[in-house]
Formats: sequence, C-alpha cells, structure tokens
Amino acid sequence: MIRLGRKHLFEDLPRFFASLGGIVFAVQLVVVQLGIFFGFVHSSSLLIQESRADFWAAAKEMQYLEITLPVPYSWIAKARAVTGVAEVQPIIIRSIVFENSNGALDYGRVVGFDPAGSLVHLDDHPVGDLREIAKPGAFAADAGQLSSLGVSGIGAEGTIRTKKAHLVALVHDTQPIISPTFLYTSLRNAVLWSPAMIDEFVRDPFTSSFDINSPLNFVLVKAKPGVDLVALRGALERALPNSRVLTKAEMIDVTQRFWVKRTNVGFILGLCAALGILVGMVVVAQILYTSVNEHIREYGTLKALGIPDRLLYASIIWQAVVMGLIGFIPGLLLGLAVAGYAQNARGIAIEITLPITLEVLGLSIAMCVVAAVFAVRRAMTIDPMIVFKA
Amino acid sequence: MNEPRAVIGDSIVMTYPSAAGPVHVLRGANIHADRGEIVLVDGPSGSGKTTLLSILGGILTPASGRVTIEGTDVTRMPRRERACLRLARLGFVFQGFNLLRALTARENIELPLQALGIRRAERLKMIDALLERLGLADKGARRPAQLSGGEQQRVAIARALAGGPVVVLADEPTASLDRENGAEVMKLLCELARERETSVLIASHDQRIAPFADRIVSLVDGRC
Repeated sequence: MIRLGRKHLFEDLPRFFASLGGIVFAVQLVVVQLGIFFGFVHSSSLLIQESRADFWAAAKEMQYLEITLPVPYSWIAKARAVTGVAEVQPIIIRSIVFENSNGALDYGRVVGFDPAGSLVHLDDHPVGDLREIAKPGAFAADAGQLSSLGVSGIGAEGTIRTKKAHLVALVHDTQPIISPTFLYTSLRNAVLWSPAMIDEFVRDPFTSSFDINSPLNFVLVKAKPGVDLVALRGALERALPNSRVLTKAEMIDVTQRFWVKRTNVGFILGLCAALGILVGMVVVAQILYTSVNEHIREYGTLKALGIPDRLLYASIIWQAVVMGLIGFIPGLLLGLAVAGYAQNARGIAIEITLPITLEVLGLSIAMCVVAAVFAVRRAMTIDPMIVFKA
Repeated sequence: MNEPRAVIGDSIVMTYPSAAGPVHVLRGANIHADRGEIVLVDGPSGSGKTTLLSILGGILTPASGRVTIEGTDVTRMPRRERACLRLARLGFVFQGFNLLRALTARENIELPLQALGIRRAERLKMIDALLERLGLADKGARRPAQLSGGEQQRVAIARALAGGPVVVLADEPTASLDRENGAEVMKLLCELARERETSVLIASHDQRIAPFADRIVSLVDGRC
C-alpha cells in the first residue's frame, strides 16, 4: 500500500508541488513566528542572563526587570552584612528621552551600574572601551540600536534631561526586542540623567524615614563559593524586608513570563502561526481529497477485493507524512533566510534553535496528517459496488 | 463426509428503494457452485446478475436469504470479516478490468498477496508463474495503459486467482473485449480455475461464454 501511496503522490507532479507550496508557506510562517516569539522572550531577559549575580533583590512589588519600585540605599550595606555574601552591586533602571544632535528624540531606558564591578556583564568583545562609561556623560548602547538613537557610532553626542551624553562603546546582543533603547552607564550618570521623582519615595523599614532620593531598582548579590544558596536567600529576605529576592533563573522567568502573559505578543505571533498552519492544512487537505476522488474507482476496487481498510487509510496517511517531511525542508530553509534577513536588516533576533526546528517538523507532519483525515473520511465512504459499473 | 459446496446462494431476496416504490431485483434466487465448477449466470441486462454476484461476494447484504462460502455463512458476518473473507477466499474479475493504473501488471497482481501477508520471495514466485501461464511473462513491468484490453483482463484474472480463492466471481468479463480476446480470456480463466479447483461464477448475457461453462443458470424475474 505504501507503494500505491507513493505512486499516487508523485504521479501528478504539478499537484504535488502545489501541495508542497502550501506546506512550505505554513512551515516557514510557523518557523519565523516561533523564532520571533522565542527571540523576543529570550531578548527580554538578556541583561539578567548575562549577569553574574546569584540573586536579584527588588521591591516586593516588582513586576519584571523594567517595572519595579525604587529600593533604599541602605539595602546595599544590609546585603553586604549578610554572612556568605561575596559581592553586592546596585542597578538603576529608569526611563529617559534621548535627544540626538539633530534634535530627534528616542525613548530609552538608562541602565546604571558600577562598571568596575563584576556582576553586570554586557559583552566580552565590545566596540570601544566599556570602562569609559564611568566618565561623566558617557554611555554604551547595543550596536543594533544606532538607528533608533539616530546616531552614527562611537563619539556621537546627544542630550538627556538637558545634560550632555556621548556614546563611548557598543555592545552586542543585549537589547530586548520590544523595550526602548537601553543606555548602559555608570550609577552616577544614571542618577544625573534620571533622578528619582518626588513621588518615588521609599519608606526605609529600619529607620521609618522616607528616602526620597533613592534611585536604585535592584541589588545584585553574588554568594561566596560553597555557600548554601537556599539559606543565603532566606538570610537576604530577612535582611531586606519587603523585598523579593529571586535567583537569577527566577528573575529570568519572571521577566519572560511578564512579556508572555501581560502582553498580547505571544498571542499575536501564535495567531499568525496558527493561520499559517490552517492555510497549509487546507491546501494539503484539498490535494489529498482530490487525489482520493480521482482514484475513487481504484479505492473501490481495493475494497471489493477485500484489502483491509486500514491499509487503504495507511496509504493516504503515508502520503500526508511524506508531504509533511518533504515540505518541511524548503519551509525551514525559507524561514532561516527570513530570520537572517531580519537579523541583518533590522537587528531582530529570530531564534531558530534545534528544539524549535524539531517542534516545527513534528507540527508539519501533524498538520498534514490532520489534513489527511478528510481524505480518509472520503475513502471510508466509498462503496465497493462502484466497481461493478463499467 | 461430503465437502461443503464452494458457494451457495439460498433464497436470496434483494430490494432497492426507488422514487416509484421498491424495486424487487431478486425474489428468492437460488444458486450454487462446487469446487472447480464453471457456472454461467445468464439473463438479460437489468435482470439482477450483478446484484446477485455482489451478494455472493459479500459486498451487498441481501434483504433475506443466505450465502455460504465453503459452509461459512457470509450474510451474518460483520463488514470487516466479510472483507477478510473476500481477500482470502474470493477473487473478482470485472467488466472494466479495474486495474490500478499507477501500478505495473506485476504490482497489481501482488496487491492481494501482500495484503494476505505472503512473504515477498513467495509472492514473486507465484506472480511469475501466473504471468507465464497467462502469456504475460514479458509484460509484468508494464502499466495497464501500456497493455491491450485482453492483456489487462488477463492481468485481472491473475490478480483474482493469485491468492488461491475458492470462488472467482466474474462480472461480464468479456463485455469490453472483442470476440477473439474474449474467447482467449475465457479459455484461460476456465483452464486455470479447473487446474486450481476454483469455482467460477460468471454473470453475463454473452452467449459466446456458454461453451466454457459446466452449467448455465438463468436469472429470470429475480429467480434462478
């Protein structure tokens, strides 16, 4: 029966290629949508992934990396005092508006940290010297964000809140796809560019006083080697009341989940992928259904001869599986080409990993098999009596 | 103890619904064939010959009556079991040949053997023998479109006999063939059937077939 399926599949090559077209379209759409989705989700937490901290401490109201409340300066000292802590570094993440030398504006996030510290890690091979961001008014940005900032490269100048800012280094693969441009700089520059607003006061639980000038958002903690991280986390939570102390993995998860659950991006990309699958399914279903209709007398003959139904259906399913397999390859290649173009032209990371590839392969085959159900149902209804009509 | 008859159709009644009311095609038809016997079911067009053959082959279920193949009651069998019985114990030859056009002659003959689970080496031996016997030894690799009508019907006969059936049911096997090819096909079918002790029930109004039959049964007014 496999032989019959093979011959039915390849006997009409234009029809075969038409069905492949549908599958290729569906596969590349699914590959690209999934790639965008995972690229997007992955990129949302790049800063966390690249950090060398064991814990991220934030206000308990923290939603994700970019939505949180300030935390008191005193947390730095309190965290350092906890037994087992090797290093503590704060991070400031604030919204700013960058005005380039032509007067064009870009919405950005200033990410302030201690460039001499080791817990925030951006790039092993930056363009320019990252240590220079410690200088007044200096900042680094992702190389893919130059066009967003409207600047040509290192040395470009602009203004943030009436203060001069100049680009001293470029880093790679640090920018979340959907976030405003990240400007990496020192804590001092960050405070100058984006002081805490009057309504961003923080009640210090130890002194019961209000610290209206705290601009800190996170305190990163590195444990000493061999320290029990579970115990250390408990100690940090006790030392920093009203805090959320998350492991690096948890912080990544919180940030990625925020984007997946709180935005419609996942839904929209999923919808596009589903539409692609639907189109592919319709094409394959139509091709297989037509094929069964064209061979209706042959299927009737096989039924009359007593060939088991399961073998007839297997020949149709076999055709579907082969179509899914063959269509997957050019679909994947097309998806990779689109991903390459998006990366080069727009700096959009579309992640097409091996697990995604395997998932799409499975999806491609499943799509074709589901589409074959209509053809199988048609074959089921064929009356073997038709063979007696000359 | 006597061997059961190859096929028995006992008091077969078949009625089709129609706009003008039920059409009584068979009104208690009785027919049988012993092993190796060639029986011609004669009757004018529309007399119900094909319906009778379909019922004997377990494709149609009669309104009443009983069909047995070597003593096994076919009429009471579930559809799937009837299909298994057709594959293992019945062969079919159709007026329009009904070969699968994408497959070669050899592959067409191989289909039921493969479904029966016969090993490949044995299958090939059986197919070679049949092709040789039917004068098609050099045409096994041809597709139906590359064969003449007579050759196609011979391939269909090989397919019908390949699995070693008890009964071959042939519906107007010569209707699509000229006189010479029709006679050749009938000669081969009957020879092979007798060699293998296979019963053949032929539904036809072609009087040229009569000399090949051991017995002629006339179907008139739905009865025989």
